[in-house]
Amino acid sequence: MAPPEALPRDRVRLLWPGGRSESARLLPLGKSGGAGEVFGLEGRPGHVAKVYHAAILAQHRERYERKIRWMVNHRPELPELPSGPEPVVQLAWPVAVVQCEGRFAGFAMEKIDFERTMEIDYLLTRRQAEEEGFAVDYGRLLTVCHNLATLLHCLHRQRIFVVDLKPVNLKVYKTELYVSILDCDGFWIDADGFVCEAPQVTPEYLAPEFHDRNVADPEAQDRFALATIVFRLLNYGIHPYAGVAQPGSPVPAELAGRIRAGYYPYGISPHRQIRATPASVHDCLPDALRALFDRSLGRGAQRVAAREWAQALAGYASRSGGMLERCEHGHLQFPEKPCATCVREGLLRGHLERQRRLLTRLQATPGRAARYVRSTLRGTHTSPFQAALAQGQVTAVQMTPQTASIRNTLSVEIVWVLGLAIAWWWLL
Amino acid sequence: MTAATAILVAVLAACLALAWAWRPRKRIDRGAIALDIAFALLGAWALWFGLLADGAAEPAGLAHWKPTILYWTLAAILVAAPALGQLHPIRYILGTYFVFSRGEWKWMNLGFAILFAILGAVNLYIAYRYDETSWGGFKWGCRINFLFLILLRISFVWMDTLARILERLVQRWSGPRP
Repeated sequence: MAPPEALPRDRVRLLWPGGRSESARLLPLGKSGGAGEVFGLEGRPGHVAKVYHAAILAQHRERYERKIRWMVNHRPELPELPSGPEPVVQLAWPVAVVQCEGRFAGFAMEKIDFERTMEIDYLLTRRQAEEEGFAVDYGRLLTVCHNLATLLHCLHRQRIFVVDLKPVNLKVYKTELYVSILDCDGFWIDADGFVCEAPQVTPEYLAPEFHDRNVADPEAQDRFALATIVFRLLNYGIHPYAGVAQPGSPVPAELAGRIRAGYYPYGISPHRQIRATPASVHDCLPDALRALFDRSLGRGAQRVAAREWAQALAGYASRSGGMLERCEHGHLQFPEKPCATCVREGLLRGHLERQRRLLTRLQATPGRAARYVRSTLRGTHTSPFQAALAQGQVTAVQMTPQTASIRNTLSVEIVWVLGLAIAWWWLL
Repeated sequence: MTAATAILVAVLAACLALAWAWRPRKRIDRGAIALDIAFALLGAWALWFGLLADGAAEPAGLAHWKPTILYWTLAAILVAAPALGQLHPIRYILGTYFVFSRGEWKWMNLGFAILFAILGAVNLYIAYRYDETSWGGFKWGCRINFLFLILLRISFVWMDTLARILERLVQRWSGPRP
């Protein structure tokens, strides 16, 4: 076995599917994670290589090599995207094995352009998204949710599961709104006779039945994590198990404990022991989506599959679906529901007003102000408005999720109409 | 050439010029090109015998074969394009606004190819086994199918594009935001 300090070497060998191999030089990018380091590849600007840390390889080389070799030769079918001027990488899927000194060292994958993408986490705290030049509105959020559900559905159909599905592993293309999933080498695969489980999980996105034990049903886990992410995207980053415990109730403080015990306060029927965070706008979401959240995050019901999410969100994601309308302030809102953006802005204004009043009280009557603070603290476990304050206001400009330009679309449609008219005429 | 014909030709030429000027500047799949060529050939045929042949008639008996030729041409393109390494042409017939996986497009492509092949055969069966009125009804059904395609594109593409155009216009008229 090579000594631990032998990796990574400067030069590696890339083994492509079909037996082709080539030598390549690694270019340091300064990106290192728990399992390995990501390098650029000289002469291959569209690819990067992940080289596992020597300590990881010393323990798991055989398992990693078996999995990566299978993945390189079994690229999953993904949702077809309209071709645009620049490619969209939906999965950081291994495309070639990386060998160092004749031994397995990692894999090469298509490069996700970090200039064109941002972490989906930024959509949860919207100020960061705006700093990235991404104007958040419900049309765009629903499109991102739909694209994520569609991608996940495609993987599930091929018996490939993410398991450790969480926002930090997801990137979103700022213009096209497509989603990329990172860390594909951690996926659970159960396809074509090949089985490889995924040991990595994140408690905040782990389904209740898998806390304190191994994940036994990866699809159920992915369904739970998907619902959690969609909920957070549509509810200003609020986790579906974050809430305000009723006084005297035994609600755990940490999210993992609440998930395990099923303290979900955003159901259509309210929970007795925990109530929704005051900053939540879940009441502004359509009943159909709330029913899906209840099925996925509540107790007892069959969790909603990625396909069902994709179908439910498709109408909202399409501009022509007509399932979103503009409120009087120009925000996109769900029909027959209060405008979530206006409600949120009202909550923020109310909070600022309360904060101003509190400061006045503190200055005028310190004794009364102290009692006010105590009563406030007793009623809440956390300060739900802190996150809300950090997120600022939302712009009202709706950007198109279409990738083709209007002119290109018109050109194609003109040709189509002429073609159909010709066929019509020819049949006379 | 009458004035109406001249106007029609001018409008068509303008549309084609616009389509060419605004065409997507990317590699176009050959399946889509094959569909366009097929429509262009049918158009040339119709143009020749409809307007330019100066009294020359189409070959006798061809009228009954026309729906079959159209359907079987479409079926042939649907089958041939993927076999030659191109994408599934059904994507262009239905529209790329649907998000399906490659496998789903494959089966839809095959399904439509079989459907078109069967419809082409049914046309011949009706044309030669039933009276002219029945066959006329079937041919009318073929043309209604094209209306269905138009309806699909109106719902999923044109309305969306119109909304985008209107939004762009509103943005332009309302001026820059403070």
